[in-house]
Amino acid sequence: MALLEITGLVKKFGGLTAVDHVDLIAEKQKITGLIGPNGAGKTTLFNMVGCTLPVTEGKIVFDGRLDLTKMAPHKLVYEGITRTFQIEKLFKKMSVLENIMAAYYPHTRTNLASAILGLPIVKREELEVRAKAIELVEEFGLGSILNVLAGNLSTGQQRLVEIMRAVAGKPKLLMLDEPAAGLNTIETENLLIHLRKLNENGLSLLIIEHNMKFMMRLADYIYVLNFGKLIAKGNPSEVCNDAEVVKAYLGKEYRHA
Amino acid sequence: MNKKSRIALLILIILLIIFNKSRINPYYSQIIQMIAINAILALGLNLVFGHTGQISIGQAGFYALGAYTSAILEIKLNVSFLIAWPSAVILTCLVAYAIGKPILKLHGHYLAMATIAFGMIVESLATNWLPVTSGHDGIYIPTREVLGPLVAQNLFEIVVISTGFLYVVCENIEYSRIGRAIRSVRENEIGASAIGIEHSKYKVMMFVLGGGFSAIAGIFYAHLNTVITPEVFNMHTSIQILMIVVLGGIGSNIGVVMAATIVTILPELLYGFAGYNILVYGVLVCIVLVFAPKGLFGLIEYPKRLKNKLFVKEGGNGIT
Amino acid sequence: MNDIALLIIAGLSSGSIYGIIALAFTLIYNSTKIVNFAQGSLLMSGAMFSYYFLEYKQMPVVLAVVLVIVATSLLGLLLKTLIVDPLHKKKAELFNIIIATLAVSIVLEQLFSIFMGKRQFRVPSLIEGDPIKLGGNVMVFPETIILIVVTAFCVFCFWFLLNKTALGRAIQAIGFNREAAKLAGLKTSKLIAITFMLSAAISGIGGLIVSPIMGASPYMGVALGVKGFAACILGGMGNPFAGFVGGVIIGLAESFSSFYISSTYSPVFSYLILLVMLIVKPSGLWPEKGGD
Repeated sequence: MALLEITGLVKKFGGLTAVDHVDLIAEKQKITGLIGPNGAGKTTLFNMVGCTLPVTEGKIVFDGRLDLTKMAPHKLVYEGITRTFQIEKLFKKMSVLENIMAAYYPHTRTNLASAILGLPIVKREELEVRAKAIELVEEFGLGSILNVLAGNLSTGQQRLVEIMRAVAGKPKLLMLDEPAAGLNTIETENLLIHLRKLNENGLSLLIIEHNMKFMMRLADYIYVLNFGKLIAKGNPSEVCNDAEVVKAYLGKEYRHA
Repeated sequence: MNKKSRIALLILIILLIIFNKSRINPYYSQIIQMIAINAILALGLNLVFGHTGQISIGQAGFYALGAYTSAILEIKLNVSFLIAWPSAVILTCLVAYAIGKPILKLHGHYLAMATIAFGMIVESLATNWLPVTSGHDGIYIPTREVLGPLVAQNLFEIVVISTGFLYVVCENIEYSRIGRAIRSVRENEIGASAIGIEHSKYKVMMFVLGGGFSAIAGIFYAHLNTVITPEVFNMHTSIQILMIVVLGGIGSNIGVVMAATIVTILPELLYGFAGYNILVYGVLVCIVLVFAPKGLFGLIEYPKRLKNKLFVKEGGNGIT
Repeated sequence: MNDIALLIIAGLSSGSIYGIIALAFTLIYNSTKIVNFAQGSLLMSGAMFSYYFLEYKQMPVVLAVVLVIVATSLLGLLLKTLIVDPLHKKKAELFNIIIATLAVSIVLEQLFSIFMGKRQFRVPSLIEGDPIKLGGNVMVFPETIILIVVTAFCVFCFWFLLNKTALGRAIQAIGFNREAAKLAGLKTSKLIAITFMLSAAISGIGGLIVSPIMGASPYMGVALGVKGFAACILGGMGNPFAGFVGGVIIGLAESFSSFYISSTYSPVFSYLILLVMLIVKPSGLWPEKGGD
């Protein structure tokens, strides 16, 4: 069943067409990959789904009913869509715990008036959120860095914190933009394990990745973009052997072993 | 803010009130009043800049709006202070909303400039709109008459208690989901948006609150000083409030109050060197920004916080 | 007709003041992406130094001019070494730099006020002379002509420097990408120091040509700085001409609005233009390349 359905998506920046009539479906509870060389338009597409970039043409429908082309970015979380970014957008001067606690914002209720008056419900909520955040961090095995400022973490850890922040609210769809970039082998393995686990627990994933190997091991279905156009789609082995894909990434002469 | 702090604050307020009522030293009472006003101004700016990360170099504009609106309503329109005071605050908040909504979309030096422009416009109006503000002649507020003897005699108490209350408000906001939301906005707008926080809403919300705080400070100033002139509400004042926040520790409520205290007291301590105090602040700010960006009290705060038993204390609550 | 001519001259003259400050802003911004909120105070310093050397010490004009320019350039260098460099090393946030330059402007103000006094000082014109008749009843003081001409000349020199010389291109390169510039072999620290000194020197020249008209006072810097920055916003931070044109537009708007609408509200008018411009088109009439 299609959780996210993109039809005929186009993005033009003046004369430049960054995304050219792309159709894409992210199936429920599956891991969908989006790959392509640099500048292929992957992040641009993500930004349109994430409502931070206006759409030139096309439709983006979530869960069969929600038109994402008209939404404000901060509302996505409430519908069950979260994302991570290529350049992480963590709260660097806040601790890991605080970053995760912040992610429970949509699930908390107290407003400014209650906060100002210091009503008991505020404290209760804070304690609840704190407990939930600690639980989540420990699930990810990162209990030891709860109190470290997010800005002081390693890249791998920062990625995980951003992912934790994105899954705190139990979304339906998690979009990840190049989660494996800049990670060493151990960190990449770790990431793979966490993502697989999230998927097994019911979370649908849509991942942009540059790292072919990573994508092959993780994705159920892959879309390949080049110069804004969809050049191939299919399961990992189909895509891997597709002539167009090989040409786009590696040049005509290479033959995948 | 835990029980101990609350009790300490309460005791402080009671002591101050006793001190004032005993009339040991009315001059000191005046200084305390001025500290209170500066503290309120600093707390207001701290909400906008310290917690939410939006620079504002135009707080004096809201300060002026509070002072002049209450004065004009009372003196020129003969409105009772019971109506004039809330009206002044509400009007200032409305202006803050109207100005805030468009300019808080700006960032960096554009935002800084927009707030400066706002402050300059208010100052110009105060100076030039003679029929309403009497320009440089200022407006004289006969406090005893306007407030009635009962209130006028207890103005000190009202100011001090209000300051305590506003301080508690700031602390309450800080240690709540709202506080976390505004800190998130400060740290990374887009990241905040991605977890459901509508950053524009919070920026405007805090800007309006900050304006409200400044308006209250303005009302107190007008009635304590009994006269208001445009010179008090110029960009220099806005910059001084900003300097207090920087010195005290951006984001630290207790820090900015302490900085406000020092800044208010220093000229009195320096007697003949009174002209040097602003120079000293300027130099101190530069030193602080280069060597101790957390502010003078940011450094003292940190070890205290680690020992603190506050309910969200472990790991800090993100305040730097 | 006379009125219009007078208004235009008044507008050009205040426009030049804003324009020359805008020039100084633009130079530093182009190379460091910093907006130097102390710019107005640097002009004030130039004005105060002008008073000191020309009037107080009664030095010969040429010597005084040189001393003023040297003195303000040194201030610019100090600003760079004592404030900008350490903050840059600490990767300070943009707001900290803004606040630091604001603090510097206050410090300068206070220093001059303590050492020289708070009042307004009279500065003699660089060229003694009677007002010149321009036809009809239009009279122009030589100071005004110097102001406009020198400013235009500085703007031109700057444009030439930035676009036609190796030094200028190097300065712009640093502005685009300091790391890359460094890797390409440019001595970024030295070049930025030169930028700050040049920018301060322009402010010094500004002080020299403005003070005969406006007088010199420690508190004149702040308002002029704001209007100078407004000129940058209106014109665009990208190139020297844009700032100058922005300044002239503001100057003309002021003089015309002050005559036709009301002289008392004319300051409100200028700041209102600035505010509206910021809300509607912050990148200015001539946005810099690469967007803002």
